[in-house]
Amino acid sequence: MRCRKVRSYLSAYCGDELSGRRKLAVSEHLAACAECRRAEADYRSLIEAGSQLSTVDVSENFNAKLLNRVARERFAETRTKAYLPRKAPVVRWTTVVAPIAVTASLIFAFLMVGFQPGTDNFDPGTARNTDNSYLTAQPVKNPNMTNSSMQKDWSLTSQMARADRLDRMSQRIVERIRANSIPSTTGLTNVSATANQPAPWNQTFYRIRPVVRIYQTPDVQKGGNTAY
Amino acid sequence: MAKVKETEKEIDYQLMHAIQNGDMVSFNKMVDRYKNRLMSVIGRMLSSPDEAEDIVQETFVRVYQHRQSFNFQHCFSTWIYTIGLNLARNELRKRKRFKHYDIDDMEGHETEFAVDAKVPNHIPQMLDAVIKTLPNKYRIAFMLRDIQELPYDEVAKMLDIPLGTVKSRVNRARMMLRDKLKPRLESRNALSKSTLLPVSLLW
Repeated sequence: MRCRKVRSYLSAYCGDELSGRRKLAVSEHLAACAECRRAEADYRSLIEAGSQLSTVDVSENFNAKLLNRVARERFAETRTKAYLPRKAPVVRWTTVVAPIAVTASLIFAFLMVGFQPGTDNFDPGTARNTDNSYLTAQPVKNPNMTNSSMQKDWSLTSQMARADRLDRMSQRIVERIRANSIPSTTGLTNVSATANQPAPWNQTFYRIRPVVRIYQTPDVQKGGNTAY
Repeated sequence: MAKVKETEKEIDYQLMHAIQNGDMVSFNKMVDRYKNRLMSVIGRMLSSPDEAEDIVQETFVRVYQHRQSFNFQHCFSTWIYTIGLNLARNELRKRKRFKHYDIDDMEGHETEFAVDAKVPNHIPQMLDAVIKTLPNKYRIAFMLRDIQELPYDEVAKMLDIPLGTVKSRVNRARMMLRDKLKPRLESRNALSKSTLLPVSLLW
C-alpha cells in the first residue's frame, strides 16, 4: 500500500475502525514508513485530546430555573376552564371584512348583470310580452319528411285542427262498427269498437285510430320556447 | 465498555419510567445526568454560553412535555441529543436570517485581535478553539463521536444520515483539525519521543 492510500485510512485506523486485510496492510506500511508513523502519532494525539476535552458546564442555578419552568408546564397541563379559562378568540378585521366585501361585490355584480336593458332576463318592473310565435313555427329540415309533407302547414294550430279531424273520423268509424256497418274490405267480423275506452282483455285489439305526430323544431325560435 | 453502555441505558429507562409516572425527583436526576453533556455539544455549536444554556433548558422542557411519547425501543440518549441538536440547528438557521451585531464588536474590532492573543498552548484547549472554525456538519459529527464518544450508529440516528456519511464526516473533521494543529502536534510528538514522557503528562 502506498503512503497516499495509507494516509486516507489513518484516521479510521487510529479510531480502531478498520478491520481485516486493510488494517493489516496499514500496520505493515506503518512499520516501514517513518513519515506515516508521524502522521499516525498526530491522529492518535488528536483523538486523545478530543476525549480529554473539558466539558462545558451549565450555570449553578440551571436546575432551579429549569424546574421552575417545568412547574409552569405542569400547571398548564392541569389547568381547567373553571379557574383559568382559555383566551377569548381574537377576531381580526381581515377575517370579518374580507368575506363581507367579497359577498357585497358578488351581489353588486349579480344585480348589474341582472338589470341590464335588452337582455331576456326577468324584469319585475315591466310586464312580459306574450310570445305566440310557437303557434305558427314550421320545421326547417327534417329528413323523415317527404316533399309533399313538407308542403303541408305544420304549425301547431294546423296540427291540432288535423288531430281534431282525425278524432271525429275515429268517432264515426266507431259508430259505424257499432251499427254493424263496417266495410267488408277490412275482413273483420264480430267486432266491437270503442273510441276512448281500453279494450276488454279477452278481445283481439286493433288500433284503428291513426297516430298523430307533432313535430318540434328547436332552432326555429330564439330562446328555445316550447313549440307545441 | 459495552456493558457500561447497557447499564447507562437501563438507568435511563428506569428514570424515564418514573418521569412518565410524574416523578420529579427522577426528572431532576435525568437533568443532572445529561445537562453537561448537552452543554458540551450545544455550547460548542453556538458561540454564546447563555444561548446554549437556553437551548439545553428548552431541550429538557421538550423532554418533559413529550415524555409520554418516548419509545423504549430506542436509546434515550439518542432521543435527547436529537432534540437538542435540532433546537441548536434551528437557532443557527435563525441567526443566518437575522444577523446580530454585538455593541462591543463595533468599537474598532478590538475583539478580533484579542482572540489571537488568547490562543492557548495546551492541545486540548487549542483543539477547543480550532473546532469552532470547522464547518458545522463536520464539527457536530466530530463532537458527538470523538468528544462525547458516542457510537457511530447512534450518531447516524441522531443526525438522520447514513452510517457511511458519519464516518466520512468524522474522518474529514480529523484531517482538517490535524492540518490546523500540525505544527503544534509535531513539536509535541518530538518532545514526547526525546523525553520519553507519556503523552498525557505533556498537556
